[in-house]
Amino acid sequence: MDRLKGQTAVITGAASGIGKGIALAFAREGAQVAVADIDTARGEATAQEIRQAGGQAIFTRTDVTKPESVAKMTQAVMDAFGRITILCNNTGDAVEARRSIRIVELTDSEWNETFDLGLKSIHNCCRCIIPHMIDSGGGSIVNISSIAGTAPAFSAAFSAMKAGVIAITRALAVQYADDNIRANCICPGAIRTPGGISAAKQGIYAGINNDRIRLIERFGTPEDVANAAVFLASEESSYITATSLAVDGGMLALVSNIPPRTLDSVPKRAKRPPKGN
Amino acid sequence: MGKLENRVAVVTGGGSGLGRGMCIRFAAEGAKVIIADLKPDAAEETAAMIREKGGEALAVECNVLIAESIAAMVKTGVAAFGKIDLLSNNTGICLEARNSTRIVDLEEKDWDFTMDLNLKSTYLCCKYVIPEMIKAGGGAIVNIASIAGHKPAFSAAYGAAKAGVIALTQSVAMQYADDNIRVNCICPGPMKTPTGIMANRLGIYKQAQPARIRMLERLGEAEDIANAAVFLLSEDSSFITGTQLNVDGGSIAMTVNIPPRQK
Ligand SMILES: NC(=O)c1ccc[n+]([C@@H]2O[C@H](COP(=O)([O-])OP(=O)(O)OC[C@H]3O[C@@H](n4cnc5c(N)ncnc54)[C@H](O)[C@@H]3O)[C@@H](O)[C@H]2O)c1
Ligand SMILES: NC(=O)c1ccc[n+]([C@@H]2O[C@H](COP(=O)([O-])OP(=O)(O)OC[C@H]3O[C@@H](n4cnc5c(N)ncnc54)[C@H](O)[C@@H]3O)[C@@H](O)[C@H]2O)c1
Repeated sequence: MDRLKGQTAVITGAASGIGKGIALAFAREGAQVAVADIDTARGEATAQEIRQAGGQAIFTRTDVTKPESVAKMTQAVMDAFGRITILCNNTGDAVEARRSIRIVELTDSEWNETFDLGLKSIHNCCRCIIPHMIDSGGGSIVNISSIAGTAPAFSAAFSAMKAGVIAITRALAVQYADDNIRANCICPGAIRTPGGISAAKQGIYAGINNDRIRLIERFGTPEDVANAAVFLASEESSYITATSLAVDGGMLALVSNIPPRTLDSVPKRAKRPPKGN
Repeated sequence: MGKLENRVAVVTGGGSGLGRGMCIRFAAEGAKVIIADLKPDAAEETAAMIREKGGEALAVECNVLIAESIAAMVKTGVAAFGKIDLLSNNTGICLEARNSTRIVDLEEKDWDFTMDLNLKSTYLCCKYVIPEMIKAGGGAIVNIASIAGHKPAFSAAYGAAKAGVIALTQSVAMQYADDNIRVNCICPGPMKTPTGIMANRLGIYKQAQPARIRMLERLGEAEDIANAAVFLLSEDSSFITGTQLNVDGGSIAMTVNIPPRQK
């Protein structure tokens, strides 16, 4: 399929997890892809995987928390592809979730780490890349926030940072609307990635009801998020800007228990097809 | 391969505007479409447009305010295509926009009609279609709400009805999650449909700044909603349920002016 044909995309944190899923999906839809990640081995592997599947990709080692590094990455992408039309800001880490720390125990450096990787990185990347988007006649920015940015979450710094991602997304949409740049964000729920599984194990997702925390009873996959990212990056969403889309298996919508069925007015359910886990 | 291959979809109000746009796109993505509309001619016209492009469609005269009419539509649809696994609850109207009616002047019958066509219709269609979805092994529902349902809107009954659609979406998502049915809604902003243009002209979208009410300086097209609906009904969104998607050109996010550029 060619839903992103003619586009050039930068995806940060694309060596692993959700970012990798997005990079693969963008390439599958015909975009040229720049994998920007701090992890050279896995970043190269992602780019390689795309090229092997017949797509176009480069890896550029980037520390998104460092303006100089992002500037170098941008130059490398311009040298390779000559334009940038899609930016996916995906880096972010729930540092606090690893040890379930409350705000009193949260160190200065953990706070800074959280905001540098998840939010300052967006400033760094937008500063370098938006001028190139404008040169190309416009583009689409897809930021990866989290449902922690919209609903009560245990991790204080992480959820404040992710709420910041939603806010900065709206501001970008306002600032560059007239340059034909749209900006939206995705709020993933629990996604099966190295980062996501360690957070889930710490129980940060436990809701009112321990055994039922989302409507769709499985972890999300990087592909689930990637499908939404393709939609928001493509022309299919050309009237959508400044909004956020939850990809959370209905976690946000679950505020009460689902009682067992007592009335039998519904037909017998066909067997649920296996999907994910 | 289309994104809705082997699916059978019901679209209410498929004879005009956003509903027609959805019918045409769903068919282009491979779905067989049951066009349920009060106006049989309008529904037939949509069906003809689909057949012309090689798609499969069935126009069914249906009044979504009447349970028996919906039950009959479902029966006819299943008889024709064997099952139903997708539903778009799209009928709705904003009567208050016509005369910029405030609540004191709102007639009770207009209140009732607004609630019925926007909200009760969604209840009734779910009631009769969901059992078919369960038989089919699951399905997906997309309800057409409005940005008026979650941000201040001038029209009181319409806003309340659409907020109801959003709430109902979440509840039904919960009730039938285990039956493999996903339920989401779309909140359109100002759209270029006959009704939308009229509402727009009456100034119901006017916000802080009359000259600039949304970030993207155009009215939405039926196609914009149809794209979002295809996404929410397809397997691409199989981890998305109980949520809402704004398709509004950034109008609800617009709380500030866009200042002119200095440099
Ligand atoms: N997985 C989930 O359940 C989940 C839920 C909600 C939100 N999110 C968000 O999705 C995004 C991706 O999460 P994930 O689970 O896929 O993460 P991950 O840990 O699997 O991958 C993160 C990637 O970022 C890279 N990275 C780390 N520091 C970097 C730096 N300074 N510069 C460049 N790259 C750097 C890592 O090398 C890694 O490849 C994050 O913003 C995360 O907060 C994830
Ligand atoms: N157009 C906009 O700007 C806009 C904005 C936000 C939300 N919406 C919502 O989108 C939906 C569609 O709007 P539209 O502008 O395309 O509408 P429309 O008026 O163009 O079409 C509505 C269709 O519903 C049919 N209908 C009316 N009563 C019916 C009944 N009782 N039973 C069956 N069918 C019936 C009509 O015959 C018509 O074909 C509505 O729910 C509306 O509230 C529209």
